[in-house]
Amino acid sequence: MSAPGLAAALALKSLGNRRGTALLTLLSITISVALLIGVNQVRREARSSFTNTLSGADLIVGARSGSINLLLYSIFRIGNPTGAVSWDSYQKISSRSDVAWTFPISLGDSHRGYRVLGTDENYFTFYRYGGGRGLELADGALFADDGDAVIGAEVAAKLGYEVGTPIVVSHGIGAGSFAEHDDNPFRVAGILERTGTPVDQTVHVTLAGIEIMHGADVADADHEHDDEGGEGHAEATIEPEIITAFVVGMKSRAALFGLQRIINDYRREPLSAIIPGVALTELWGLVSTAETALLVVSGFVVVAGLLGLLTTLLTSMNERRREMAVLRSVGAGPGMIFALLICEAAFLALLAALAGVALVHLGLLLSREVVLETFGIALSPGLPGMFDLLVVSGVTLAAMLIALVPAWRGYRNSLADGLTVRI
Amino acid sequence: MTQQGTGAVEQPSHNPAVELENLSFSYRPNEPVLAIQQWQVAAGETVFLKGPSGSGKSTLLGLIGGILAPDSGHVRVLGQELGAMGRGARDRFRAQHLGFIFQMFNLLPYLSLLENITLPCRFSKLRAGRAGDQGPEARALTLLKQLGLDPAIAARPVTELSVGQQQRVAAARALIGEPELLVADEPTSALDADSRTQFVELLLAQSKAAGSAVLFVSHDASLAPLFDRSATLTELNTVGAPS
Ligand SMILES: Nc1ncnc2c1ncn2[C@@H]1O[C@H](COP(=O)(O)OP(=O)(O)OP(=O)(O)O)[C@@H](O)[C@H]1O
Ligand SMILES: [Mg+2]
Repeated sequence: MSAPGLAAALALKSLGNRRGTALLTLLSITISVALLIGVNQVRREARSSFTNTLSGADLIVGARSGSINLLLYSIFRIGNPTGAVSWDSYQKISSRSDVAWTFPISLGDSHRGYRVLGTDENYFTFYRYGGGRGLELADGALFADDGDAVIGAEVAAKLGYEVGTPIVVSHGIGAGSFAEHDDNPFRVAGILERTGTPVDQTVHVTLAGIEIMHGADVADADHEHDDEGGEGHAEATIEPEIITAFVVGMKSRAALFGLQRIINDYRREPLSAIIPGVALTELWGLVSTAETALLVVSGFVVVAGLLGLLTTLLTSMNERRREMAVLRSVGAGPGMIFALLICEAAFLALLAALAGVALVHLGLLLSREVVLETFGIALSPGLPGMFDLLVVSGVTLAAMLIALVPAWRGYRNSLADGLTVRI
Repeated sequence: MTQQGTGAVEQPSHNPAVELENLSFSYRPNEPVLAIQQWQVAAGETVFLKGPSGSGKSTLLGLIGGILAPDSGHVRVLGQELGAMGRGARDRFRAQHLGFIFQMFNLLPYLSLLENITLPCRFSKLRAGRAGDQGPEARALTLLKQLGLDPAIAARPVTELSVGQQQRVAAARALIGEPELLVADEPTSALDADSRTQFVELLLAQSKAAGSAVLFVSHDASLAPLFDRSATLTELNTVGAPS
């Protein structure tokens, strides 16, 4: 057997003999690695989940505000709208010749903690998520009249709603908050398939439905109707004065920046048009500091785990002097003693790191359902990736580097002790 | 004795097993421990070495084993000048030609009994070859029997053996692969008088069969008559025992 092979074989057996302490050391490294991998994995999943929430949309338009803010409240239902867009402006922009489609977003109400979103049929036609998938009905139908609601899969599942269930919407956000508009209950008309996006947690109603609920009268419907835009809409019965935001799909992406500039410079009211991908990048820029901090902290936990390994190795050195002397007497050189300790550390760290990676990926796999339901983040059952490989090899290498200390001590001991062992 | 020439070193069977010349050694500068003008152990000879505690017996064995290096003078083992070898070569030389038995704790607790005995064969192809055609394991079982142990104990973890059993297992390890020189540093001090004599008799019978020279260190002068020759370190050592 080759010398390194022999050293490795002996290191394994020696470790097995001290499996009590070895296991504890292994456990502490496993946990620290799992933390690091877990933080990174959740970070990545959160990112991809955000990225997957909206695809195929070219612009999001809302009242003038920061792009991250607009993106968060319009698409992710995080935070509150800072302003509104007039229906008039919406009509003007959506009827432009370079615009392929638009759908409005009107927020501000809730149903038992779930956001109520006023929109139109275009929403169900053009909303894309997860790289191009469209919304599908699991049950029922889309809006037939203004009393209809189309609910996300999560809302249906959590509240046990079926097609036909009447629902009451309250003003404001939060479970049962403020005034309930119970004189105008909605009725569940359709339930959407699960998407793993905030759509699942949304109650969709028509814009007119929201107006009626807020007390609009069918009679004063056509107030302030502007003839310049939206003229072809013969079905328009009740129109809102304002909406929260709207999403734009362009005929050609070439005109994207032109239109963005036009909207940002809009004369009649201060508007912001954002490109979702760009806003997301900005968002990542913002949260990356926190992410980095988390990663650094987890990194230090790994360092602590490795220091635990160093402690264990150093403490074992004294009780192992005799082992070293016996090995030397049968022909092991000091180099072999050195290799033995490096092997031991490398093996322990490798095993621990692999266990940590397995723990995280298994854990994510098992907690998919719960995470999706609680946070709306769809964990993709991704295989271990580059980062995991880097962590495993990094931890193993670091352990080998750390083991240089006890290895060097073992080497020196084995030279100084000779064959007489003092304990 | 099968002589498979796998080792780089040629068989120096006619050379003295140990030859010391003008040897001096100290652990710390100006505190000499050993100074020996001239001393030899012939090939195949069994020598009993005694001397008071602290006189440098273990130190001498370390020098002969090539683990310690002398300040000056020559240590030749089987005709090979240890000082002329590199450190790695000395380790290989030890693996190939020397067998060691210590006072106690000779065995590695994480290896099985047979793995403990055959350990030298894993460090030296020469000794693995000499262990016979049936392989080191078979040889180990034979040695166990010849050393008065029931081969059935091979199944037991070495940590469960009595001290006397451990020492016989250690003797089997030192003897396997027929090393030319067997070095024993007080291997009997943990045994009672009867088992001491029995142990040494068995050890010497086996080393004679293997043609190995034996350098046996002990306080117990009653064992001396069992050996070809006996020597006292304080008489060889011109430094004298430190107070
Ligand atoms: N590693 C060491 N470093 C410094 N001094 C040492 C070392 N080993 C032994 N000595 C000293 O060298 C001298 C000889 O020690 P050695 O162990 O060779 O004695 P010994 O004859 O084997 O004794 P004993 O019969 O008690 O085993 C002693 O004075 C001892 O203190
Ligand atoms: Mg001694």
